[in-house]
Amino acid sequence: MADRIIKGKVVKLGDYVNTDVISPSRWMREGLDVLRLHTMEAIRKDFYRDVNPGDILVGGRNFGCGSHREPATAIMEVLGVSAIVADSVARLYFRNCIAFGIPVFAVDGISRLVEEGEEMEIVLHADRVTFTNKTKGGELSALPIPETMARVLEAGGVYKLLKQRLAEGY
Amino acid sequence: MGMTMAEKILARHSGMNQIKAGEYVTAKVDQVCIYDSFIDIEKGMLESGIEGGLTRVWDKSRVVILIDHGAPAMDKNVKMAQKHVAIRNLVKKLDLPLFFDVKAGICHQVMVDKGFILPGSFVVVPDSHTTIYGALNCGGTGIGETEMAWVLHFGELWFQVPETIKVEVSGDLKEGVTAKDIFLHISGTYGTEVAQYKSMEWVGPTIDSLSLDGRLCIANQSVELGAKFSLFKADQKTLDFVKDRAVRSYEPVQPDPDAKYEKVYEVDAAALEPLVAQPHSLEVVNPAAFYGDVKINQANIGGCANGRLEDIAWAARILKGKTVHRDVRCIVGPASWVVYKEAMQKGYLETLIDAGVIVCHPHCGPCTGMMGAMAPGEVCITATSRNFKGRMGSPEASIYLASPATVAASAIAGHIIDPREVL
Repeated sequence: MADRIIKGKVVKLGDYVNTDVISPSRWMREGLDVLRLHTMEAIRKDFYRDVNPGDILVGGRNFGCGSHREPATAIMEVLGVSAIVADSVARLYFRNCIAFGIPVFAVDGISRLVEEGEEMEIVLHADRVTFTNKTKGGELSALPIPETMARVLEAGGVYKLLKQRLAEGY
Repeated sequence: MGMTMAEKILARHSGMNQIKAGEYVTAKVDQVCIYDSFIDIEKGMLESGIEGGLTRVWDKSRVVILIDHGAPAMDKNVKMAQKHVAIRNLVKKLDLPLFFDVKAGICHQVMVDKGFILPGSFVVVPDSHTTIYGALNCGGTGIGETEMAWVLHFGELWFQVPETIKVEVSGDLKEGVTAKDIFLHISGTYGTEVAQYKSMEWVGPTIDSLSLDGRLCIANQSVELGAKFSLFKADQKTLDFVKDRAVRSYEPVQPDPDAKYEKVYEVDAAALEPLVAQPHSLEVVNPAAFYGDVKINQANIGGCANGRLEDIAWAARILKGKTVHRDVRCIVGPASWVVYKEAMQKGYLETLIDAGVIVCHPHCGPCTGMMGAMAPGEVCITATSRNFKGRMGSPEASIYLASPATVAASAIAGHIIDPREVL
């Protein structure tokens, strides 16, 4: 299979961006269209204006820590984020991204490799994943996505995989 | 080779004799619980083109449904009320017998109260604080609603076997220092990623002497350290507690003497003071006395982290014969009606009401800002689960996090104090 390539402009956030910040509970229940206007507002006003479809979201330590709330992941789909890469990613946020079919990577040092507005290229090779700063150079690499997770990602998320499974008569 | 408790639970549930950290397994689940977001699963399936939405579950005796976050419906724009109607209709469609509606309390406490949480078993809930079940030697961990859709069909899900870190706690806690302070000591000293993707095992004489309520608090809060599981051994206290309430048979797990630990942390409990985490992270922690000049507007005790009998007993002990400061709203929310009734029978609720406390019905509100929302510039000290920016309403509010004892004492003083000042 050909290497999958994800290329996009970097939108960058800091350390410990928790899910109360990504998806504030006072807006969460109003639906994703409303939530979109308020995501990250506690740390960055009008964040949605800074994100364009295809952008790659880069975070620092423990991205997505806190509550398991899925709107904090769903909102990335709404914003059109093509991948999330952070120095480290909280366990539940990581699982939810995979479940939604959003490529997610915990790569220590990524926040030093790229800055806001720079172009990054992510290449999913068979034996590794590489992260390249296309604007000013520099590269990091990580282990490939484990097979269990890759299957979910390739299907486009758990619901799509579930649909396939149910259609097969399970 | 020896296995940790997490390895043993995952091995047992994936039909293997031997597994080790790093491997991936498909594990069978003993029990699930889903709250207000249950309806999101039906919605997600329909939006993905799965005809009929959710039409079956793998085993009805293993699916608990209740409503606890906004319960009873709290909004007059009725979005929440409509969601609750949809949940009730879905429960009817599937004919699920274990449905507690808005009537039982907070999911994790209800699961414990009703004997669904058993030593050696494996439970997933779409909620981060599911690690709480480790207090009863049960492998509990959070997943998302989307993954729960998979579990509801097949009764299993993939997991990576985590590394385990061991925390050995010895020494007698000083008067006024509680389980919550042990957690705050760990988060303040080692940070909120110390257990990222890992299982924690809590051992030592101090842990043995803790009540189940104290262990439940630590296991609950372990997700704030990144933990996937937070496991305690099943001792006589555990077995006595589950004996008459267990919904099915169970077999506790013990770590093997030669189990492999990624790291071992030692805590001297005798050296701990009542601690406070400052806004907006659980990593910046200092003794309560350090924050003496912080005036407060609200003081909360409750949620799945601190809404148990021991927590309410602390509040009652400290507030007995005293009055909540005139500038402070003090909210105490028992985690379930079982806890509420016990607290009532022991006279704690009367003591609290006499002191001017707002005793609320069991639900998630005191932790999530769904009740007692904070305005910009206001300050809350809370014995709940998180002090994140915006969690209780305005992002311009400040949330300090501490033990029920410290919160109750601060409610009297009107500013943060060390509870020993009023003991």
